Amino acid sequence: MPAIRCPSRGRDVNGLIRGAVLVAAATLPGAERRERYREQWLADCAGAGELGMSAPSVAAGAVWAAVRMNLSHGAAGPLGLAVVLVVGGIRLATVRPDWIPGVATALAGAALPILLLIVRRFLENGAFGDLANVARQARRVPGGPRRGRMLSLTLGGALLLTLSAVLFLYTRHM
Amino acid sequence: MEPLSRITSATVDVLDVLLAGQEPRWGLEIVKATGRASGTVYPILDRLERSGWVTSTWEADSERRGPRRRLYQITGEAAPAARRLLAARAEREAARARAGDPLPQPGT
Repeated sequence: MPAIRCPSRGRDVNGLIRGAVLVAAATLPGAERRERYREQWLADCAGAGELGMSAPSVAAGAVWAAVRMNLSHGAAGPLGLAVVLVVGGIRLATVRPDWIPGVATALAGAALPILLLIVRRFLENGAFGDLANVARQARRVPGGPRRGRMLSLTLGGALLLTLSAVLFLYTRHM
Repeated sequence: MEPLSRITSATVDVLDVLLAGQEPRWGLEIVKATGRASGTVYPILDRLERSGWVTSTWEADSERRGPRRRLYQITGEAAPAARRLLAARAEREAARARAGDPLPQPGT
């Protein structure tokens, strides 16, 4: 793999822009992709002026691209679960006199995507949290992509429905 | 080359820009040429590359210091399919124009 050149020796990139690009690239799945996009996006920010574009808007685009590139790798399940936990936690906190369990549930939901990113950052191919790899594996299962996708959709949907039902029933009788 | 699972209007715009030139193009130049936001174009280029529609390489400009630019080029295998997508869009727009409907704006 080619070595990354030191951006600070080249054209000027504002520290804030550089930080945003580094964070955006750091969230991507796969060490190779992280290094590649870090250099690519820094070069784009540095050269944005040549095309009459602003470096902050390119950096913001990189951040948004990183979010979308993460979402496209089977992250719907964990994010759905995070939403259920946050919404359910808020509801728990508002209907129960003891608000601590609800707040704890909501915080757990908010922390889940971050936790997944951290897990994926340190455990690469084949490990839990490497959603891109999981997606690639799903395409290789017998029966092709449709079977893998249907299985993950069914299991994810069942999990979300169960959790939603449990939270709804739990809060309804309070 | 894998078939694309999702072909948006922005995807066709990116393919249009890539087909316009024979030389590899800088990613940000493609963003500029499409008139779309970089946050829209970067994931599309990523998806096209992972599906084998485009290839990318680092620039070989030794004069410029600092991070290298990434250059994109459509593959020979993907070019006919991309042209078909462009033709299909042109047909749809022509049909819409004949029917008197307004053309869709970028980002829709």
